[in-house]
Amino acid sequence: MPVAPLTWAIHHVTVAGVTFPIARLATTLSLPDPASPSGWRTERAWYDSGAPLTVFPHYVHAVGIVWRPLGATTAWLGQACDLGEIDVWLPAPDLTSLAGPYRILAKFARSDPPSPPPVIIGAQLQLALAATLFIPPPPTDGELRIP
Amino acid sequence: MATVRPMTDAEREMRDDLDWALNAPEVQQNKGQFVAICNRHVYAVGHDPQALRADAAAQAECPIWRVVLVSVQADELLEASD
Repeated sequence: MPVAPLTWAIHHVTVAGVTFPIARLATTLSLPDPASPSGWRTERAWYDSGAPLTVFPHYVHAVGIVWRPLGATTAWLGQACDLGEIDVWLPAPDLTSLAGPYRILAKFARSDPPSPPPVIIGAQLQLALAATLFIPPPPTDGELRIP
Repeated sequence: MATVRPMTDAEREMRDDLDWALNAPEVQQNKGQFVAICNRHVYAVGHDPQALRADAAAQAECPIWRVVLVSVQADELLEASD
């Protein structure tokens, strides 16, 4: 069973004199990039269960990542997006191999908001892969367990 | 049916750069900007992703596809999606 690790990325921020930790669940995706000799590139991604679809900010996919438009448009943080599908590979826990390809639906932003995030992995990926999301408290990594 | 394949050297190096960037002060101090990285070294910082990639590739003498671009969040408290 392929298992993609989701790593706790924890930073401390101070607001109005109060310091507290904030966290993201981070992983990496391997994406089809014909400019790379291997045909793949690695990009940072955050898992966001509140996002219905995966989102590729413009600065990420504009390098030439291969994806297929589905002929529909949508939006993300006020930015027009194309709806499309893409084949991705997910990291394995040994951190030296990848599992895939997994075909997912995603939004491909035509432009970015200020200070855009990395790739946002939405809940549709979990549906498409019939994956189980396992998130223990830090410092233990979470996992996407894919049957 | 999914398969398992080894990471290529480039994929691994890019992942290492991304992991390093998560906590590197020289990256994270650039709130609200893009940071172009290659082999754990910051080569360019700014707001134009395409120009930064090209600038970093020229300075690092590495192919442009190898440059890792990190967007450092200006406000870490904002949600990333609608």
